Amino acid sequence: MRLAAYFIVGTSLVPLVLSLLVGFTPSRFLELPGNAWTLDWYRQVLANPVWTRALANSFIVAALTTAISIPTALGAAVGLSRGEWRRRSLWETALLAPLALPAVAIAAGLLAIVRPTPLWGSHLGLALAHSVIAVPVAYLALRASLERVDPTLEAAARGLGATRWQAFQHITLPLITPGLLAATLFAIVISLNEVTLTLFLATRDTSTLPVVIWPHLRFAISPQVAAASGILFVVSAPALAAAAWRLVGRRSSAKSSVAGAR
Amino acid sequence: MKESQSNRWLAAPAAALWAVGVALPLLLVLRMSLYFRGDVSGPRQFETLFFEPGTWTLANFAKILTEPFYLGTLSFTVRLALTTTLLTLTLGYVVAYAIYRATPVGKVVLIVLVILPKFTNILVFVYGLKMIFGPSGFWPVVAGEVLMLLPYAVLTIAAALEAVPFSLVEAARGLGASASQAFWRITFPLSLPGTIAAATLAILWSLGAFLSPYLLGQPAEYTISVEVDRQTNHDLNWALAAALNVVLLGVMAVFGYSLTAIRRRLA
Amino acid sequence: MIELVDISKSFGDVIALQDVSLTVAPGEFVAVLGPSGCGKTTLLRAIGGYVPVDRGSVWLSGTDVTASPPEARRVGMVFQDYALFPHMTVLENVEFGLKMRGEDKASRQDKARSVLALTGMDGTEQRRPAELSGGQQQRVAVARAIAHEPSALLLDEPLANLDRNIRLRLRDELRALQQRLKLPTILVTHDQEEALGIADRTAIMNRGRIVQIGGAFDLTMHPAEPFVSEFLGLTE
Repeated sequence: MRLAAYFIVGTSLVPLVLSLLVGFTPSRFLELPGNAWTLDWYRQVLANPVWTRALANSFIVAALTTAISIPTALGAAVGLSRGEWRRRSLWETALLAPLALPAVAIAAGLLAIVRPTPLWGSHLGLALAHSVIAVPVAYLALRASLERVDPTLEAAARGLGATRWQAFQHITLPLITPGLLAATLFAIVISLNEVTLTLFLATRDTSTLPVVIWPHLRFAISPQVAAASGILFVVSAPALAAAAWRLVGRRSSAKSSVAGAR
Repeated sequence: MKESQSNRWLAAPAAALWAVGVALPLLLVLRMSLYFRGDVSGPRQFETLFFEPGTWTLANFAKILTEPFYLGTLSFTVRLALTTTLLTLTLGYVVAYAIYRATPVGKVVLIVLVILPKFTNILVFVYGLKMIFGPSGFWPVVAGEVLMLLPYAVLTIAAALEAVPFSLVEAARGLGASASQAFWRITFPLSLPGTIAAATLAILWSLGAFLSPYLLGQPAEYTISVEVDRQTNHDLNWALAAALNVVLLGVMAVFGYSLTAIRRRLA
Repeated sequence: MIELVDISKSFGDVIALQDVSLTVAPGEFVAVLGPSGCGKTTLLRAIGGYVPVDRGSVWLSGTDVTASPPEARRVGMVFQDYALFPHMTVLENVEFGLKMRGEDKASRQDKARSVLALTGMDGTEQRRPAELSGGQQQRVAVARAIAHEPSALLLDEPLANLDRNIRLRLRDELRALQQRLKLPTILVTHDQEEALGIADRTAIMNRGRIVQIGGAFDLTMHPAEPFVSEFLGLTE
């Protein structure tokens, strides 16, 4: 059973490893590098303004998406968990709906909305679209974090003279920092890797890296695409490392904070 | 002015984004599906290019539900989704069960390996798949979809399994049940609600499959979502694209509703 | 001085407080005793400002605070699970109230240190709550509550989570501290031995009402209702 599981998981990683290796091949074709490895394809990608602009667009949109979606999701998480709602689960389902809806449906509708407005062709418009998907994911991370904070702590702070905002700032906010960090990572990774919405909504000036890779994947495959993909991976990798570190590190720290609340 | 009531206003930005980014697009799609197609011949005018505003017609739906091409696309989409979901669930259950029975360190290793692909771009992934499979076709598309969905299925099922105390299985073994009897009589039924939740997620997402059919398939493997993209961005027939979206949402609603009903009955 | 004038509170159909009146003089220690669900915790939360009352008024040191939020009431509250801030050191916990009031760092740390000395917790300033024993956490919670110079002390089952030996010792310490600071104090508990052993007067609560209030002798010798004798007898 365990062998089968590792086999399945291992197999699912093969495409990833292959596509990363091809970026180092000296051949003009899709071949694995044998003895010789080269960074030529990476150099070509980084020297080509089409690719570098796409990379810059990716960063701008990811930053904007984070700036929009984290406060929005935080407000929703605090509002839904600490407010008074008659049908909380219904509102929550609605908030999470973008995760289940087909991306093309949202994309087609958004296109019709954005096209006649000044948002069309702007980084902000793209970031707002990414936020539609990033907010529910960030919300889930923040909700999980907030649920672990005892509401009595804020009550105690209020009794000691803290206003509502001060209690949030000094007590709740520091205690949900891990969740906030996770939500931020999710927002960045979602934005960097979003394909469908971006394909519908990006113009030539705002195309992010995945959208520039896209036609190459369908028509003209060269190791250059592997190099571009590799850059995308390297950009996302710190986020992965941070998440993995958190996953391993959480257990011990969670225990001590629970003990602290007792 | 109770504080618990004023706290609700904190959700206002999310509500606004939801209204403009989710509700409005869907309503617009619904309305667009009832327009005549726009005028793409002669001098192009922005207002009437993608659809004919102000008109009402069921022609788009009639076209989808009568023309063999669209019916074929529709049935292929469902067939692909069912194949993908079955495979995803089977493989996902195996991995989730291994996580359930693993040591604490083994759990972390497996989970990290499972979610690793989620932190890379889908396109990086697809690129690797293309190298493995070479020519496009049905199974590369299925493989692409399964690999995209696997992490979510594994995590959902593993969470359901973690809630089943292993002492129940040990108790059953103590009462004379074989290992496989204990699994099928105890573990599996108790993990079924979570497995159905994973199935719901898998079927909804694979019904909307877009990237792997497009990148790994031939036109024979194009799904509704691919056709939506074609109609929107190439044929500029937004009305037909909207109708395709509405049909897709309808199919998803049917599957989602029936699986939820099954899960409710089990609970 | 704590004065409650005919306060009532209900949550939907459930009546938590019904026309409760109570006066606690400066330096007086009143215990509120009753079974779970009798409204005693709601009473404490109403005085602290966490639960808005439906009717009646709450007065602290001669000021009507009925409409004031918790931060404007300046009461010292000790919660059942202490509610120490897990991400702060003991010292940061104790000086929190003074910090919120805008005191400068040197003076608030001085005050926090002297309060910690008062509760026998000097030397633990740089520790985190998680590193302390239950009894130590309780003392820090008391220190934090009195550090910001409150007008009243409210104790919500502060000894419930402790072993019997520590409980008895902390009970006496608490009483001595309260006498020294001359704070009007309300202690909520379901343990009659604790109530009668520490308080000047004990109020017996049932179904949102105070059914009788008096000293230990009064309550045991002249119970006003069958409930009082029953409740005191049952928990013996």
